[in-house]
Amino acid sequence: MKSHAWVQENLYELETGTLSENNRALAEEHLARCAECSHELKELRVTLKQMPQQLYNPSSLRPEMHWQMFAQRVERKLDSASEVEASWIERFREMVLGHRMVFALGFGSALLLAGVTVGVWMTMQKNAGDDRSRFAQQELGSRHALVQTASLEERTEQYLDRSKILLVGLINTDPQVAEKSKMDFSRQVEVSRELVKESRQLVSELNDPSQQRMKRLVSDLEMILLQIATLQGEVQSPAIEIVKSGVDRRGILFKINLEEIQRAQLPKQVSKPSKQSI
Amino acid sequence: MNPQTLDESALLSQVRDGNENAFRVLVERHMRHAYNIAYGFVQDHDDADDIAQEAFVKVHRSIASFRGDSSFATWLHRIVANLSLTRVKQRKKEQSRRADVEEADTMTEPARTSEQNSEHRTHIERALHELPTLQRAVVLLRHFEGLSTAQVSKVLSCSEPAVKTHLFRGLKKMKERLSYLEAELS
Repeated sequence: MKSHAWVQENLYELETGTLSENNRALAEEHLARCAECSHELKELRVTLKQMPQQLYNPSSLRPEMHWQMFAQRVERKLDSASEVEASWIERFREMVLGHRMVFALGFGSALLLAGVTVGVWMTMQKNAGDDRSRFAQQELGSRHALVQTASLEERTEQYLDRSKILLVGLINTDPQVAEKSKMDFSRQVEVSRELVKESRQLVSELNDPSQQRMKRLVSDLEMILLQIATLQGEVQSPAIEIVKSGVDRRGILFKINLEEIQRAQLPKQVSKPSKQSI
Repeated sequence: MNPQTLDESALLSQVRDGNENAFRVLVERHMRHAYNIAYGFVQDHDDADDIAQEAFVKVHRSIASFRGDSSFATWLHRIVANLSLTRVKQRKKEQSRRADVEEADTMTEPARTSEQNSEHRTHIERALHELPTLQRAVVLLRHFEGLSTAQVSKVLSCSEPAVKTHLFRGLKKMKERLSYLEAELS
């Protein structure tokens, strides 16, 4: 004779036909004589009726386009993960090689010291003229790098401005009203697609250590923009809710505002071109 | 051979051989299940999406070590469940640090839809979310995802009797909660 606890814990298996023959017989034998467990079985049947399996499907709230791009996003995540790994391997290799180099440099530098002393004096005489032109070239190069950085910052600034306008508009949209009035989001979708392309470009260019925070913000924004870019047909309120909660959870607008404040405190390096309208 | 038409074991063997198309097919076959499970734990669409992606990154990295003792789905579900539980723990830590009750409320609010069953679906999601984490995981995997008791015990690394106990208790609580929500509505 099985206990009440055993029977009750096997009721789900019994009801869904997954209990072994032997255990089924034991459970049924118990149920025939036990009012308490029979009552539990009835309750379970009501519960299972209340929660049909097909009703739980949160993935269906995402638009089809989201799923079409899912594998692509996994691949991108794999790429960026392997980049990080590669940089760690590189650092490790450098560290190991660095130690070996200490010994090699010890011997090498002792041998070269005398030669270098003589060589430096001779080279200084010979290259006095060359140095001046090389210095001029280096200065030009560093100016060019400064202009490139400035233009990247300007592009990022424009990108953040456009994204902010887009997001503020969407945040202030009532999803219920948007759904009922069949609001047209095609322009927002179009702008988001442009911005997604721009964010990919920016992420690949923002490589300076001082730009890492900005890079993370652009990556976060890209996720949100992708959600807007994949809105299609008649926009349903859950889709807008998902975007809004994403903006909220990632603190996107707060981070953009923070960037704006910090940029405002920095002196401008290059004049700012006119902003594009969204 | 077209990976789309391959059965699971042939597909997995191609993924092991480094076939990226096969990996993509594998992702497409299982992505919605992974998402549904993750959502059941974290009740947040963005987090569920992140976790599902992260799970496939892990699959890609450790596919060579997958010996096939259990089915691929069980293995994937286990990865998703572990990642989700970690996320839930992180979130609890953050919440206790900030004691930000308001955020938790908005975060757990289920999405509304205009479909016919939306209210009932919302009730199910809400009732499910109110279960303790392990009971929720068992109800989700055993009932909604249709895994066997043995599979659930492997995914959650607990014994089969423990799975049955969590399921029994979880379903009881779900019933109470659903009845309350339905009564509140009427």
